[in-house]
Amino acid sequence: MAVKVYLWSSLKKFTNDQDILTLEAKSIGELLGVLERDFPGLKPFLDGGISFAINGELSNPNSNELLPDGAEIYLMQKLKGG
Amino acid sequence: MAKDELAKEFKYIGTRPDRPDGFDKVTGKAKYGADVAAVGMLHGAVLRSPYAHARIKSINFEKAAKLDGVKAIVTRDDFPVGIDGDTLKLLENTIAGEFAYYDGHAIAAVAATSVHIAKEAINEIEVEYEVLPHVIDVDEAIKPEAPVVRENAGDFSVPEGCSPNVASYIEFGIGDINSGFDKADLVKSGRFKTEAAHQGYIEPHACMAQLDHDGQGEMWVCTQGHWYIRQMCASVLGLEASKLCVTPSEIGGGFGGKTTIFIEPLALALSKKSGGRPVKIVMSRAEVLRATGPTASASMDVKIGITKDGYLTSGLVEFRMQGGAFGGSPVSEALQCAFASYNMPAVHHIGYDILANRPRAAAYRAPGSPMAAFAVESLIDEICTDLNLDPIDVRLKNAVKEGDKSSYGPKFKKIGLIETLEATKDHPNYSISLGDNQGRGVAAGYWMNHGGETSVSVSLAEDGSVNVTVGTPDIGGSRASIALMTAETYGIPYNSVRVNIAETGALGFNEPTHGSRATLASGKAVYEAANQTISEMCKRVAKKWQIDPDAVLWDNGYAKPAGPNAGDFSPISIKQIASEMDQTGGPIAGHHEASIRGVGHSFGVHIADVEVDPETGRITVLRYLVAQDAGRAIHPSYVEGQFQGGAVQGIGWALNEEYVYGTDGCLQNAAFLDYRIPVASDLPNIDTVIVEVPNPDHPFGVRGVGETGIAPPLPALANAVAAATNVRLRSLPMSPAKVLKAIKTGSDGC
Repeated sequence: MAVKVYLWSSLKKFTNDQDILTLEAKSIGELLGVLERDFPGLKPFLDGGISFAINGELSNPNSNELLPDGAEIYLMQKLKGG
Repeated sequence: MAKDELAKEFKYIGTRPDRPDGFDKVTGKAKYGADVAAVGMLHGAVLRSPYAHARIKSINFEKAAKLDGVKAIVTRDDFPVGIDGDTLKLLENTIAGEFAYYDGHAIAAVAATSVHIAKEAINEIEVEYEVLPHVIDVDEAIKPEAPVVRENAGDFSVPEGCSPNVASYIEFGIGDINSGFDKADLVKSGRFKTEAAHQGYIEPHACMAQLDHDGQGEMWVCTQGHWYIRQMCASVLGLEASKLCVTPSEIGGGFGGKTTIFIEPLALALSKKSGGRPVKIVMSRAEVLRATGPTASASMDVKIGITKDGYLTSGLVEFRMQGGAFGGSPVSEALQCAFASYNMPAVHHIGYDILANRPRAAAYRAPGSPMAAFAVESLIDEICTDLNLDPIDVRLKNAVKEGDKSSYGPKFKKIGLIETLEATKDHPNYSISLGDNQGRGVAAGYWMNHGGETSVSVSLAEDGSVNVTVGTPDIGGSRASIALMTAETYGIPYNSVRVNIAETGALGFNEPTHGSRATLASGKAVYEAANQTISEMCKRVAKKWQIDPDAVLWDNGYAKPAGPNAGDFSPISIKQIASEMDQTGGPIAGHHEASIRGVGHSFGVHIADVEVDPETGRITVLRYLVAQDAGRAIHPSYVEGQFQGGAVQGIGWALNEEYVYGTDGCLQNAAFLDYRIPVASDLPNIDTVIVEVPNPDHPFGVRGVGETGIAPPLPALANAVAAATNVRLRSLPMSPAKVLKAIKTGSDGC
């Protein structure tokens, strides 16, 4: 199950200068595990609280959520609201 | 104006009944944070730093402790050690440790039998300070030679070579901006600055807390999110979260500023130290302004390319925002909002979160979006003027629509910016003739809105009325909107629904009323919970009729046979079903817990008309229009209220509000007499147009309306002033002195 993960370019220094990653993951939890395993420099970013956009839909991370094949996933800093 | 292929007739949604909490609030019966009292209650007061930056060499409270009536004094020594990360920042901001980082930073707290004794005791506490260099201005703080606010404060994201006051760094974009600028007929750039503005809620922070030595406690507090308060207090005090029960009072405004802790852990610590007596702390207005979060101040560079016929080709922003001594400015959100209204081939964003010796920034209505809108929408207006293009037409040509990629990446689903722009263009305000020294400004704004963790329950009373229990405090009329959605779901009268805001023990976790989420998220959850009870009612009626449950449908407050084949039965009302609950299987209740999905992005467009007095620089707002896509207006009056409230706060930010610091780094205007928020007599009626492009991912089409409205006023007013004076102000607030200087010298205020 391949998904495309889009990262903000300031994180490229932790991902071998790539800001688009094609990764195999069935769920959000698995994806986070793969990111942490393959790119350990991302751990502080991931631990700091993130928001997701999966095929355009913004949400909090749900590690059990299954990912559609070919999903476009954006990782962003956790959004704050007033 | 519903632009709605999903349009259907509603019985209750879209009506304007009185809000359930309205009578109590206008008659003074409603209980706010400071109204809570208990037997044996003590009163707390807080000693605050008189310096912007200092090392705390010693604290001597012997004399204070001897005062008759003083029951407890706490300092940082009374809080756990070994805390790190964000929890340590929360604790440091709650009560200073080795250093005081800003004027107003809490140093110690006292509980006594009266407020007067507590304040007297505060004055008797002796603190020896070593005053340290400080920095206030964001552009000063980022310089390499600036005083260092906190050592080693930069996180993993900060590039090498940055100032030690850079806490974090963000960069992202799409496309080739240089190629985009090459294709432009006009490339324009500018620097823009905004001052910190406070949320300005009318009710100061207040709480009463009680904590026993076994770690069990209770708290009554004025907050937007009592689960957040529980979580934060438990983490800084080392408590088990479930042992602390937090009940929210009514709330006199929050706007993001009441989503975090300030005095609450102090009240708990004082209670524990006084043997478990309840302790109440109520902030003064000066304390609110000195020590609770305003939003960030910002310094922003923007560069935009455009063709001569009005198509945006490229955009670049670099935002520097100071979020106080612990970081946390909304620079990330500001960057996401900067170009979000436009479909541009190339954009690039750079952001710095910068430390300064100021209070820790808290969220403020659409955090970051107003500053971003000021910078980008002002520059677009300058471009429109240079090219003699209509500002709404340019925005229409470039407006994002369904399927477009946003400037920060994800594709938009159904959105209503184009409909909102068309609504403003068609509005009479856009064509009213203007006189001498008068000008008109247009600006757009965006907020992404939020779903968030949500937990609700619904139960039938024995007479068929319905209790709804939610965990999102009612700030702007959410009891009414949730009651309307509940009434619509069941098909029962609005007055047969009561919405309660529960304490933390009654429901699962709830995020605060923030991110424009209460009506969207609690409403969606209540819809799910109500449908559980409807399903149960249909099952019970099916048993009674001895038919399959699928053969029973729910229609407008009644269970009915689904069709002729289901049998010939008379409909049974919710009242009858409820009255027989005890004989048909017991109570009927539903609940729903989820991280709510299906958020709907919201866009707004504002038109401001102003008159500028060329002799005094005073700006009078002549008329003001807010048009915004609400998705669906559940209760139109409270949607309009949110539009108007956001606009007024934006107008205050644009014209008057600012933190004024002396050379000593101390706040000079910690009172509403000097920190000038607009009042009714300063403003015209705020005209509103509710645009309805329903959110397809919400059962009633809701998007969330609370925040977008604060973003456009800053640029709309700056654009109007530029039109009236032919001088562009790039620095807020546009105080009379600044406007006069601009008129006389051409200064842009930066």
